Amino acid sequence: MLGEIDRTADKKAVQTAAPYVEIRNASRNFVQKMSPVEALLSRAGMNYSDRVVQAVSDVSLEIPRGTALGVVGESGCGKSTLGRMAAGLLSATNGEVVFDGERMDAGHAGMSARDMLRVQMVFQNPMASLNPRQKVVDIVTEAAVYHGLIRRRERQDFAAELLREVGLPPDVLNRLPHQFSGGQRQRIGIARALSVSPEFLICDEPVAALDVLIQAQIINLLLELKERRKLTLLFISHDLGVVRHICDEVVVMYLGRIVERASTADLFARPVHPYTQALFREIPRIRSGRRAYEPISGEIPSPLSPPTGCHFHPRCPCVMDKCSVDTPPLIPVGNGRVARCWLPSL
Amino acid sequence: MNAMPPPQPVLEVERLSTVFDLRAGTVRSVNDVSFSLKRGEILGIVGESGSGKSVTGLSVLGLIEPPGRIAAGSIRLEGRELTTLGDAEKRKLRGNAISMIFQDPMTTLNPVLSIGRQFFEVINAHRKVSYAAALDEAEAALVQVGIPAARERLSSYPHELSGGMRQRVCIAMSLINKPAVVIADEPTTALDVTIQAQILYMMQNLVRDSDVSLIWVTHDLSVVAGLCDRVAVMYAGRIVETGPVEDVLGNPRHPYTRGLLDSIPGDAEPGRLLRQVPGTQPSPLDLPQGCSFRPRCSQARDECRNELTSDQVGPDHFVRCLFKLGGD
Repeated sequence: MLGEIDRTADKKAVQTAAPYVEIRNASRNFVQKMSPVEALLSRAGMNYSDRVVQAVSDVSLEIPRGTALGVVGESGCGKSTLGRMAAGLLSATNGEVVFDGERMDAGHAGMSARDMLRVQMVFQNPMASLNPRQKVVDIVTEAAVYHGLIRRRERQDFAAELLREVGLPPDVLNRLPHQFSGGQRQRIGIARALSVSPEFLICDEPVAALDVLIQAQIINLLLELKERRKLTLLFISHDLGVVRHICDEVVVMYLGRIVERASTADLFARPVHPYTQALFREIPRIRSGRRAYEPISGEIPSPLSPPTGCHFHPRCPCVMDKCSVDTPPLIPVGNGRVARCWLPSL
Repeated sequence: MNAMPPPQPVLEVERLSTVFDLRAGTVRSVNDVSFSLKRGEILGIVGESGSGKSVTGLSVLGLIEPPGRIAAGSIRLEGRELTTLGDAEKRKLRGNAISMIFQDPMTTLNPVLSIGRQFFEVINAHRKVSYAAALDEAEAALVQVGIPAARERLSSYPHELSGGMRQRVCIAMSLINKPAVVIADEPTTALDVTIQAQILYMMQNLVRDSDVSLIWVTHDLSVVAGLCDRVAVMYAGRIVETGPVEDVLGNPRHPYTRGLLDSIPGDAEPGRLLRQVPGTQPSPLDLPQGCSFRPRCSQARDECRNELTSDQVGPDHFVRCLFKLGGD
């Protein structure tokens, strides 16, 4: 059983190993071009310009080998963009992604296609991420055949073995994705990612679309695979419970910025950033029962025009004058954790 | 009418069965479902996709279209039988005495009409009012659900609002004709957690202040824990356990309810495998004989193939299982 793993020994290994995946000062902008009319008006001296959304701004993080880093936040916080940059699917506007000592941001010339296989991704919606006209055997072997990891005639055995590993019977090889339930499709998506033996797996909300009993099955599968294959995980989710269960360290994002980073145990024991505190308080839980307090007000501002200073200040219960003017830096708050807040009491 | 609150429930659903006649066979989406709703009460109906929770809500509203039909049972709203009503009478009821909040506010709202215009339509369908009077009423309703600058919002179109604001508009619209019962089908599933928390908090206050009864259909047990008075857990078309929220979630007696609770990672020890329920839900075309949960249940024995009844295990707490999990 996985429950028997000695977690303290795990931690020691983590501390001595150099960071395996490193994201350094990564930013990603998306530009919404002016319409032709606006472009004309701007040439005539009027105040129009391309609109820039900074989806991810100056994010740095490290993931030691064999550990799982969780990224949590609400929609529009940049967590999926960050995941795609880490997977090499999106190039960074600034900054770099370093994997096992080599730069591998998308568009960077240093990395060969073969090296890129070491990084794979599992997507949220298993219906949209599987080709509906491809048989399961083709879905899970296409990449391995293309990259010459296996021969064509080995496909059946290879696929059957992969399916067994993710908990599917081998007699489904010739079926199409629509013949499976959501949970089974997600297993196929995971098998596809594993087919090229990756070391670093990025999971973007892998259980968000699944029913709760099936969610538990997939979470268990990911835990087993992480252990058996010694995977390093970047786990993106809005579900704090799932992140707490799987991840060793957690990054909380708000409007493109990291607002807090801490080990999972520390974060859940004592969230320090007002936004993290709000997130934790407002997730309804079975144990806590009916709530009697007022939830945090306001909505997430548009990333097209983020608030000045600290992005969270319009909704923050502890807002000070300084917060709307200056952006707080990531301040160390002890035990290796950081938080982006001006509060002196952190 | 009278000062005494009526002793009978606002809504009584008794032995309701809703089926869909498909070419492949008859799907029993809702199977022998009974529950009642008191005035000012919030009932959570919880289950996985395909458990029949949404079809139950649609049946109460009379929104089941062929090939679906209500095969048996009765639905009484304030003593009045709904299953035998004609289309015109049902239409008079919907949006008036009973209304619905759907999951996706973008598909509920008409994208080409202003919010104010849509409020006018909802009010005017049941009461003759002037446009100006309807707007005044709508403004008050929007203020009630916490929409800032409500007057200006009335001339906005749905696409100009955020997802959370749209859902607030839908909630205000569902309450505008002072219904006795509101059925909400996963209204916060598409929203972010901080917005979900705002809406849950608001709904509790609205129910407390307005005496409306609420049915909250959801797949999320933690939402039920945070919002509801009573809960009905559905599996494969049947209610397998129902009772006060504290009793059902605190001391579940049905193995399926236990499995649902165990599958939520929140309280489990991090890093360990979750206690999972094997398998998937049975096909609604081919339900197992007797207890539908039998093939996935660790307690199952041969007797579970027999037809089951719902047994009372506590005040207002019923369980449909032969081998109930231990009580206190």
